[in-house]
Amino acid sequence: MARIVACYKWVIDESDIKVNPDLSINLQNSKGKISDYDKNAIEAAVNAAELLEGKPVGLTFGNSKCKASLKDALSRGLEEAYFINSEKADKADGRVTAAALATAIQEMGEVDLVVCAEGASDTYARQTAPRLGACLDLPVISSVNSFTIEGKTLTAIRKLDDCLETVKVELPAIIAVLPEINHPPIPGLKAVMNAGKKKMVEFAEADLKVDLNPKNQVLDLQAYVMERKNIVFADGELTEQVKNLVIALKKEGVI
Amino acid sequence: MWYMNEERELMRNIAREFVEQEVKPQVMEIERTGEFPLELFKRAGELGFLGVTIPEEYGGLGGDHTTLAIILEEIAKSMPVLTVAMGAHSLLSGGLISMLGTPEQKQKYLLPAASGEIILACASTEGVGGSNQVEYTTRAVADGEDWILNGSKVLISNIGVADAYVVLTVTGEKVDPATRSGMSVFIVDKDTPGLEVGKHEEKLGWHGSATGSVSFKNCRLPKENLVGPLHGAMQAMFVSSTDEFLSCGPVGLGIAEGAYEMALNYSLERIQGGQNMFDRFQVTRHKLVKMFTEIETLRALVYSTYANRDEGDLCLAHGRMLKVKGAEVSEYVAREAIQLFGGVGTVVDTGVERFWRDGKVLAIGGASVEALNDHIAMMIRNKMV
Repeated sequence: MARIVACYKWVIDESDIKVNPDLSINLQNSKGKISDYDKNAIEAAVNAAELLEGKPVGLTFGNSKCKASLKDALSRGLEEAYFINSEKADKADGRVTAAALATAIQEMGEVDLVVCAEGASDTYARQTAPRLGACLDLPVISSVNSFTIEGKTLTAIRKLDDCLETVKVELPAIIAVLPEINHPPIPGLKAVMNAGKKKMVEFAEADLKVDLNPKNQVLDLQAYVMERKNIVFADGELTEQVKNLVIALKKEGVI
Repeated sequence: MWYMNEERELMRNIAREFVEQEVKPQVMEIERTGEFPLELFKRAGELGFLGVTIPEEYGGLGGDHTTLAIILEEIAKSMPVLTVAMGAHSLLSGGLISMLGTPEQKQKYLLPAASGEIILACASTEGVGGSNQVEYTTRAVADGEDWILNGSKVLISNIGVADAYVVLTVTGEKVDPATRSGMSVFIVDKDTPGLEVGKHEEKLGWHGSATGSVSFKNCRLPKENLVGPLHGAMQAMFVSSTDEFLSCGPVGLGIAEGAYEMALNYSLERIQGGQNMFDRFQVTRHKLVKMFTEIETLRALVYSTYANRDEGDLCLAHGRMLKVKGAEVSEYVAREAIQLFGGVGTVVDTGVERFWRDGKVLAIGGASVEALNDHIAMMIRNKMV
């Protein structure tokens, strides 16, 4: 049976992120969630599995708290969930993440399709799919807006800055999907209850025999705050107000 | 929170997704038109929200009461009226069929009700007597193997949209004031000749709840439509109505949280004299602290009571306390939220004053806090608590 792997990331819920007065980030009381974009990847994997009459499975790399994501992922239509449990995930760069995921995928056995989101909702680094392709020596199609599968041929439409590009690839392959590829359905409560009965596999760091030490290090993280000038152009007639607005924008170098 | 676990948290998150993606975009439209949120109600059924406590064999989740409370709280933060419709459907009507119904009745009504395929209404309150069944005049009389139902009910939720009405009616010679023996429950299908559904009443709050009167003129009901023992429905009615009172706790909590969150955000964003209201005015801070304290006090009462309900306690007194406290806290917090908004708080489109109106109706709809306080007083007097 074909195996389709959806890679997803457990990220901090953006609504829980607070900015301190010194612009440092306050993550106290923050909770995790599956990256919103990865819900699209999971749904795309479920759809692909229907086309391939295969089994959609999930794979994630995260710290021990990430274990809480497995039932959530399974309630969204995946049949099995695989979890690489390592505290090093917190500081992982693109290379480490891809290496960990690739090693786990190899451990799983044969895989027909790997689906990633174009980027995760925390960093949107867009590193995972291309690096995974390099690690597994598989073709990668990024920016996928839609796809079809016939036999072992996947045809994808890539949404680029100024055009739509149609490409095809023989499976196995990796695709990175854009958020507009689908609308992930909200799972029902019964799916949540059934999720606990599905297969969950945990890989310890030692199981994978891969170097999880990053070469890139994040030294500092500061919030970016847009300061508003709050200038109101209320004097004179409307045409004069517009004229003053244009002058001010030119002065700021905006136009 | 002490009452959360992994599964409940996931289910809460699903309710949140539903609210964010589907409920919130419709809130003000439903508020304005007063139309029953049929599409959202059906979606609630698809997602399993209508069958949380209904047994699995009848299409429900077979889940616990606390999970239901968590879901009601989440929905009430944005659209309290949807929880009102859910309560009338699942707790009052579904509860009675679940407790008293035959396997055939459960198959016919409970199974599709759990998924939202059909909608149920519970017709109990009457114009004379209100919730006092001793004074009820709606009566079913045996006619061969059938029953003939006559009478009318008022302020019934889900009228017009309901596929079947679960009707509390007098069947005995008279209703015993102590035991309420003499009351029975019948199911009246929406297409039963003689069933007349009144107009949807315009109300202070709960816009969209499809509330109004239903009357029965010589409605002929087959004996299969009798639910539970003849003359002996009140015990189950007492349990299902208590479950509905219980639900007013998380609903009141959700209403209060919805209003509080809006007021807090507004106080942090509204600039006066170069500073936001929260940092500038002590009175603003203290109001919000008091609102938050009331919310957390209610939360403690809600979830400790629901924990007892899950242990099998019927929570007869505490269920009524939840409705009283839920109404009190939601009304208070929403009133203070409007006050913090100032003039714009009274503008309908701001979306905060509706929480106060919904909290006010919570203090009356289903049973007034005064009637419930009397029930609780009787239980205290008889050392039942």
